[in-house]
Amino acid sequence: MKWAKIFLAVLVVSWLVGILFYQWRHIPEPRLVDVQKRVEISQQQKPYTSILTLVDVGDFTVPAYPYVDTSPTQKKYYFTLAKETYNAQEEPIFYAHKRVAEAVKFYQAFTVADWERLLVEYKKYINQEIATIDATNSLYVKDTLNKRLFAYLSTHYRDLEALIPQTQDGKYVRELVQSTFAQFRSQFPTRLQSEQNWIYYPVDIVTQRQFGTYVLESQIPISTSSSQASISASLSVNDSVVPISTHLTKSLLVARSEPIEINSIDDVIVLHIQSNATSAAQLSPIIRAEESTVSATLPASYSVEKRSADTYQLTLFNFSTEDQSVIAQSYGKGWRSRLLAHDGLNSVYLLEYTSQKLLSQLLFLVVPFLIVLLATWTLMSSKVRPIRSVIYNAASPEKIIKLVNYILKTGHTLLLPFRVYLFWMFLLGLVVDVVVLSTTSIAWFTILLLCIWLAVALAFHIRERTHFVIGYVCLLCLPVLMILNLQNIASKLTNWAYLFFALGAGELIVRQLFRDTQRDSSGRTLLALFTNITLPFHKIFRILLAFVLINLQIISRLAWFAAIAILLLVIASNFSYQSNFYERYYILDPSSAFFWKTIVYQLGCLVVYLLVAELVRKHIRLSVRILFFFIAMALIQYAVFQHTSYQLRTQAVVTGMNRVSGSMWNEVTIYGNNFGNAPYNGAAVYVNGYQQRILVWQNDKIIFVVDPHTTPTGKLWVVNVNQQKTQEVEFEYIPI
Amino acid sequence: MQLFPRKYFSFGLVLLIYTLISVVIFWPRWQNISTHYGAADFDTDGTLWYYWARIHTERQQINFNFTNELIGFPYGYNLSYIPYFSFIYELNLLAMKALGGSWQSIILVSNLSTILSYPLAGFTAFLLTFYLTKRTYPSFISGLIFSYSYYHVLMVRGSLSQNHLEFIPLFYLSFLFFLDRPSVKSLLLSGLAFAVLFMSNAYWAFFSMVFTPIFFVFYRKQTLRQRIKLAIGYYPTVLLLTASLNLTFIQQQLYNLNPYQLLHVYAKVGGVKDQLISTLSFFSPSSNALFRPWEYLGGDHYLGYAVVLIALSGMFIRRKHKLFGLFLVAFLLAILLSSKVSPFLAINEVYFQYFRAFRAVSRLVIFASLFLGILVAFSLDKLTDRLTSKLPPRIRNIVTAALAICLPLLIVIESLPEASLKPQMTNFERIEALYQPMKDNPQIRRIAAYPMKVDGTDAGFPMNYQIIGQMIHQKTLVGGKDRFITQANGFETQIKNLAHPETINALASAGVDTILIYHDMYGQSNDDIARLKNDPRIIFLGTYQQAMDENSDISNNDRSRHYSLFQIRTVLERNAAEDNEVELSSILPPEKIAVTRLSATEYKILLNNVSEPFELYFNEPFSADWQLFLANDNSQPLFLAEHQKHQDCCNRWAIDLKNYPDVVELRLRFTPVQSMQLSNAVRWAVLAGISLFYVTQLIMSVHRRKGMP
Repeated sequence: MKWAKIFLAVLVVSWLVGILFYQWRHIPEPRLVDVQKRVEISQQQKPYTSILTLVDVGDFTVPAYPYVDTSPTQKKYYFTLAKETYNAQEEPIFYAHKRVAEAVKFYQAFTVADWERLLVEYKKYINQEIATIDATNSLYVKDTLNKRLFAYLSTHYRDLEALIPQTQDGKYVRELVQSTFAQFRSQFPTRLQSEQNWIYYPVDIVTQRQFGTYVLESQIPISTSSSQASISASLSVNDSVVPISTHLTKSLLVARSEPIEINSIDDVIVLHIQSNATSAAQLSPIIRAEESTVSATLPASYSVEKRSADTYQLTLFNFSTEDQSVIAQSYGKGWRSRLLAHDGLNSVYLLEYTSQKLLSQLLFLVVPFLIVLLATWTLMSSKVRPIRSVIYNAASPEKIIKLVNYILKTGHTLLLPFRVYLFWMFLLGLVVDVVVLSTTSIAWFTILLLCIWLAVALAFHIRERTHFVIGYVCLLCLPVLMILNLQNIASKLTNWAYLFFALGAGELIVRQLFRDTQRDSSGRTLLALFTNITLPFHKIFRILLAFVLINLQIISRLAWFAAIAILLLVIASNFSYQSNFYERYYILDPSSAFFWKTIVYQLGCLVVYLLVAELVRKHIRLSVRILFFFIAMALIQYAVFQHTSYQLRTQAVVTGMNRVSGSMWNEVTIYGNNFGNAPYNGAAVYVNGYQQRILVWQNDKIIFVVDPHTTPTGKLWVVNVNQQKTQEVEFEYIPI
Repeated sequence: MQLFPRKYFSFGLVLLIYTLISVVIFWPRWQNISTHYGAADFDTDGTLWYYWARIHTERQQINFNFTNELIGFPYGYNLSYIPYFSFIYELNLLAMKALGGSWQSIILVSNLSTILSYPLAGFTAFLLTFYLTKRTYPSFISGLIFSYSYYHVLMVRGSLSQNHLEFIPLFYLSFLFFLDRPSVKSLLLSGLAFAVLFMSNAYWAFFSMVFTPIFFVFYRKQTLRQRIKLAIGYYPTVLLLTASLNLTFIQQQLYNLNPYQLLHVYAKVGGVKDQLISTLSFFSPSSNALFRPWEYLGGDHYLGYAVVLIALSGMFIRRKHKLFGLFLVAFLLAILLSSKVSPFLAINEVYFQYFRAFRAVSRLVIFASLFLGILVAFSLDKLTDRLTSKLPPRIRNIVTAALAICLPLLIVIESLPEASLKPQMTNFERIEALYQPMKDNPQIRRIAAYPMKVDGTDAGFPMNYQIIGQMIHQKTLVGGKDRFITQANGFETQIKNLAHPETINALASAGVDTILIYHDMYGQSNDDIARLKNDPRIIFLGTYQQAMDENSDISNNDRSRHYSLFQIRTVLERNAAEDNEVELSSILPPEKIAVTRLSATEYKILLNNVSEPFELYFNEPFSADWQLFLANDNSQPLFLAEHQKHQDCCNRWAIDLKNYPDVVELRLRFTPVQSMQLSNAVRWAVLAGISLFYVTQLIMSVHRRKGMP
């Protein structure tokens, strides 16, 4: 016994050391492949080239004039204007557009006073529009909106001019109109007024690279018919002309500037093209900005320092913020990064390893160990022999067969009085399943019917041949049902045919096996196997066998203990599963989301349960109380999780965003669930009702780009592919 | 004197009848056997292309590493992740190479291989049933049911390795032989049969193994104790033999078991219920087709109504065959695993939990038809005597003969899918005419074909219509098609969308000279074509069009007969400046070096009296797998340390031949074949070992016989 105890002690210590060693060994290195890859890419990078962003209103055309029914000559017209001002549902430009529409429709009845009033109103709205545009911070956005407004004004002026010859006091009205439009035009920068100007802004440079010295190169496609003399180009930056050198290839006019400084997002680059052969508006020139020296590109690098097995310090030099945010997710499972310090383009991160599975691993390892420990202790004691003989006697095959026969006989006797009812119940159920529920299949209902049928078979002594006959009849019905186009019923009936065949085949094969068992019992076979094939290691196997049997005995005796162990395992694996679940969807802050959404509620419920249990407890054993505590814990855990994760599992939901504000061309990542796999069927991201430009769309992640035209400050929400709307989240647009 | 026992003549007759049936059923295929290929939109064309790539790279199972993000070597695609090793393919490839390796030979051999698999499968099922029943006619019917079942006949248009079912009955035959006469000899034989089945198709092998436990439990030739012992010996032996004969394949498939694949790829394919089919489609009677011929029945899994009734009527015979119950259970299990029977869904769930990789359970219908055939044979064995014994002796023979003729006809007609009579055909003679301009144009080297899509979500496989074109024009197809490229974020948006402003530059920087746009294959084709025509960087080569093949349905192959070609100006200029024909170059004078291209993966370099160090350039994208060897020594690669990246893309070796003879012949090879060589060595060693064992057994038995009085 003394040696046994020493052995046990050594075993315990080595086991615990093993667990610790496992935990220590188990921490993987953080994965730095992505960092390395980005460093490699950055070191191989050539001077940065950007295609500058063109001020362009895209396919914008001035829409048709809206329908109007009130002339400025009518009294009702004042109400129209008052209503417009009061409601102000449209953009000001719409109402200006409406004024022109009124002139086009009613100009024949206009007096000079009408024209004056109309133009006053028109001016009011255009000024409102100009004021809105002026409030924009970005010069690029301002130019784009101005360009659109300029197109409006030109169309309006052209259309009003056409009306003038047919109006009374034409000369005066013409002067009026001309002075009004001349006044507006003078408010626009000159660069916008010419069709031959192409305006660019370096917004790409600011998003991807720092400002610096750039060489601008423009490629202007020319048709073969036009000669060199007929086309010329000039380039100006911030209204000062930049010297350029041009050369002509077969199909291109290439203009190249001296190196120039680009220092601001509002630096405006104007390409002026004069062409005799083709209209400048039809050309599509490309302008590139290339860094003038390679030294302008700062190569990225990193250094890593191991502080302990689970903490590393990573310093990133010259990594862009985009790169950093992408890399933050790439250190491998369990590794998280925390920003320690930030200095320009250099950032210091702390990488920490958090193993969520520690608890469950400990439980999975420790609980079985305790069981084995107890078993070993018992094996070492002198009580082995009697237990072994008890188990040998209990597993005798003759006894098992006798027991089965007894159960069948008793079942038959018990069911005998109800067998007719059971049969009709089954038949009714069968009709319901095959005819009424022909389009669906309810597994539990079919299983219930099957159980009833087994009871009927037991009560009526129905053998396999009857099952075969019923199945066969079902199959024979198929042609008739198919001809009558009752596909669903036929399908259900095929299932039942299959079930009856399966019952029959099962019975047939069991009967054969039973005969087999009588000849050569399976229990003895297994025992004989051990003696036969393990002959050389006979003793070792016998000890092992005894060991296993004793363990079984212990577990059956200590059922409550096993139940608690299983419950602990369930709780641990639930915990692991739930935390993994939250980790998957609450990417930005999984731990606190898990804590606040689930654990706090679970603890609350548990406290309430304990209070109630304390009130009702009387003469209950400690072991039973522990058991009930764990059952309650498992149930509460399950229920709370089902409740807290219901929306996340079933509805479209936003769980976080990598940033809650953004400036132009920033990429914003929305995390959540049930978005659908692609933005189809009306699925989209909205900010204040404006649809956003999507870059990546996955079921649990969307990346959209902040576009100054369409991304205002306000509520953000996602509509998923099933037209479910998520909750609204605040989003702020920060102008540069 | 009788040379053979009489039963062997009947065996020959059975094989002949099966062959004749196959000739009749697949007559449209026979008519154009070397020009037309079946199955327009199935993976068959992938198989066809695989044959072609294998022949043209002159390598076995090459791991086409991706050396550049856009350009794969040598024809654009990575084959290493396609589970394509098959014993059948290797045999077919031998025949194709013997016939010259042209597309005609590929089509001829694969067509022949497809069609011949039917009589072979029938015959092996016949042998299995004959082993069980010892009766010729029921066994003939069993083979017929197995080989000409609805699903199998439908597969005439499908993948070739799935088509060859002849090894399944052979495996079961050897397995039952082992159970009947357990010995080391029969154990090795059965293990070998399984390994060969695995070599022909891992899917079939796995599914065959699923049913073996039933035999160990219920095959009552021995006692249960003996059977358990046999199982303990059987499974490890089979596993060991299979592994030793299929090392490369198993190694290549291990990626299927990685967490990414299991979590994302298989999960994406759908849940349990998506894989299951209705039990009705196994049993839905053909009367439906007679009365409602205008409706599509979707009965790809139809087993034949009459046949099922005959098989199941065997249940009522009081003295049924002693294995009837066993095969009935196997038959029902085959149907259960592949279909929705609601109370048993838990069984399907359990199956999928463990064998998600083998999720194509609808293929189990093949096993259902094998076991059904055997059940029919058992039933016929007993039923015919019963039916005819009560007839007057005068008409008994006539009735028996009439029944014997009608039954096979009924089986073939009932289970013949209409689709096999009107197969989709791709006429390669016409395909050749369509792509000839591309083949003849030496300025076309690397092609980006649009729509740039992958066939299947994660397979990394080119679209069928693009690769059948590649078989003719033989130029490299580019990017966006490899599994890893499609997963590389950002990259695909840059090259997959022609409207993206940087696409042309990205293609140009990767050396892609040609853009091919299929007009009718995607919605933006007209926009893309108009944009490219107006783009000053692009030269328009022309539009090529051809009328579709005469098929009942219009397939993608048909729709792809209208395309336009564009070339990127800068790449053309760059290509013209470089000497493209010689991909290997050096600073040595031409009399000292002679380079010959042996294949896409092998070059011969002959060096004469080179004493000074020199540099060798090779303008394929850099890969450490390109290695130099001596012509007569494949074991040791040379100048590994001197192999460097050149000009940011290609290969360069700094070579000093100080310690070499005056005339040196080097070989430049693409080498990812070492593991395959090891696998081959193990395979042949194991086979040689087993053969040796059988030979010694044979000699010993002869000696023993001689020694006996």
